[in-house]
Amino acid sequence: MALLSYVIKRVGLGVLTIFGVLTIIFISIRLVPGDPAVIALGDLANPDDIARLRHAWGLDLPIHEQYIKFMSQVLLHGDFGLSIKNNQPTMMRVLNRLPYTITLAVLGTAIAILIGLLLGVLAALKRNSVIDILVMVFVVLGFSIPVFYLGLVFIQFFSIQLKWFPVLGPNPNYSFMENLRRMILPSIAIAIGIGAVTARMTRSSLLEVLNMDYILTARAKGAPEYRVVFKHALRNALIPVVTIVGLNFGALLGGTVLIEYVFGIPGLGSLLVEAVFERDYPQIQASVFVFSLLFISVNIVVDILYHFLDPRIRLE
Amino acid sequence: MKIWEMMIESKLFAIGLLILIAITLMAIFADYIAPYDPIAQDFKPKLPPSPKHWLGTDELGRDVFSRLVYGSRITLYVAFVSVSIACLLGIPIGLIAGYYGGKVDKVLNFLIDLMLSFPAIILTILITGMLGPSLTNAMIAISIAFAPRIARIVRGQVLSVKEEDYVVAVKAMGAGGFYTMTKHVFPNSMAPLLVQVTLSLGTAVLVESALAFLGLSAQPPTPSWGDMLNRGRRYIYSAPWMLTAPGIMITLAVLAFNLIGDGLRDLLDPRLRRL
Repeated sequence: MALLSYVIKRVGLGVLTIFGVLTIIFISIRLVPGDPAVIALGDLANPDDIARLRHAWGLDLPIHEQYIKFMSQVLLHGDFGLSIKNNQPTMMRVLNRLPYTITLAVLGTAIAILIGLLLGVLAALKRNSVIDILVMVFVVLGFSIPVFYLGLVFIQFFSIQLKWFPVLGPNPNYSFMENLRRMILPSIAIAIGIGAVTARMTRSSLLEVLNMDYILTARAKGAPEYRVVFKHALRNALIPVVTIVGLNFGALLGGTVLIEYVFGIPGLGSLLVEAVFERDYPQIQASVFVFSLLFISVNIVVDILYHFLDPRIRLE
Repeated sequence: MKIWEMMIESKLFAIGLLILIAITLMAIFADYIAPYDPIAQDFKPKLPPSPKHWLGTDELGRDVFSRLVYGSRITLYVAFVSVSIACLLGIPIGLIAGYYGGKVDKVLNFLIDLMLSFPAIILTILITGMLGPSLTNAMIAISIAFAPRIARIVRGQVLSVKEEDYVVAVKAMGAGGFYTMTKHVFPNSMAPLLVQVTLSLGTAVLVESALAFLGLSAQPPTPSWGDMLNRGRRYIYSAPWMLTAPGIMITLAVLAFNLIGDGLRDLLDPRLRRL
């Protein structure tokens, strides 16, 4: 019951946050120096076209009416307006590109957790050994190397030198299996940073748990070591790890923009970058909104998972 | 064993500091270190590394090493200026939210959380996308994206410090809110802030080079590491040396701030020491 009421409260806060995010996105177009319609179409544009665009964007209305129009269009119809580039609904273009970004984010997170847990457990069990030091070097470097440089290093090494993978990422011209193969390199590149943070968290969290009394009890009653580590210790050590993965999901989403750019993947991130250069303001707004929506949703799931995993919090 | 561990940790701190000093010296004495003009297109394009051009030349015939040296200026300048502005915005917000509590805190805290529900890179792309790509706009974007992070740290710290006996005592003696906040609460909240600021400098380097890599920060012909990396990307087959040096420099700069930040954390608060 306590969990259910927490879920309702957390989702409610999420909805409120989405309102706020939309408000910021609405305000953001005011940052455009000068008239957005003129800048989007260029100085030499036909005044009628500019007037038509101003009307389509609602810029000819008083500000409070603009806000109401914007919010109701978005909330009722998911409509951010038409893209300047090809007059298609911006949301449709987002949805066309989204599968690539989601696949990249999901694979990246999965690989990051795998790397993080594996290296973290290894380092904790072999504390102060060569393995521990190597893992720590990986952690420090993995956290510092920019994802876009790592992607390029991967291309240089695995694609150009070893010829194991194609240089370019997936795109609609290839089969599903081929696209999956083309997703491997970008997914690993994006996973390294969070994998490093997760490894560090797993290591310190596991070391802490291994010092607890109940681990001593488990050992004293003669439980085999692997059972002590995996059944008793790791399960409890995972709680902070869940949080750290959730906290870093935003960095991972930001990383998809850069990785898509490096590998030429036609995802939401590259759509956003294209929109910036085309001064396609509604397209920027729609793309940024969906990125935030993903981030907010994952955070809600992580918070709920956290409450579910830790009985100490559940009771409060 | 503790001493051995501390040595390792302070060694990392020392390495970070050395890297940062080296990059800073590079930025200050760029005029003397760089052998050629970083902007002049004086040489044959895409020359491989040689004694004359240590890191080769780029696609426009500019000396890569000279551009790398001058690029350190942009990197450090953006990081320090934008994180300073983020502090100017974030510290007062965090102080007010934490110190006054109640409705003020509820509203400010919601706003902080709201700004943090945009991934940092996405928020900076939104802001530079609307303002238009330029170095100044990239710095504005980074400041806005980082201010809520600073505010959150300060708020959390103030919340615990203001319950301390000495703060209660100062207030009991009749000290005003502003005096208590600036003279007693803030100075005692500094330690985690300093760590956060150092780590933020690293993230600022990362975000700025990402924006420059996408073409959203300093515009050509300004030498910046992110832009150099992006040019190298285009000639990854024919001139691979163009991307290696700027890639390593960005990594080193981020690494330096991360190592210093971690070292400071251990130094300032032994309770937070990592296991």
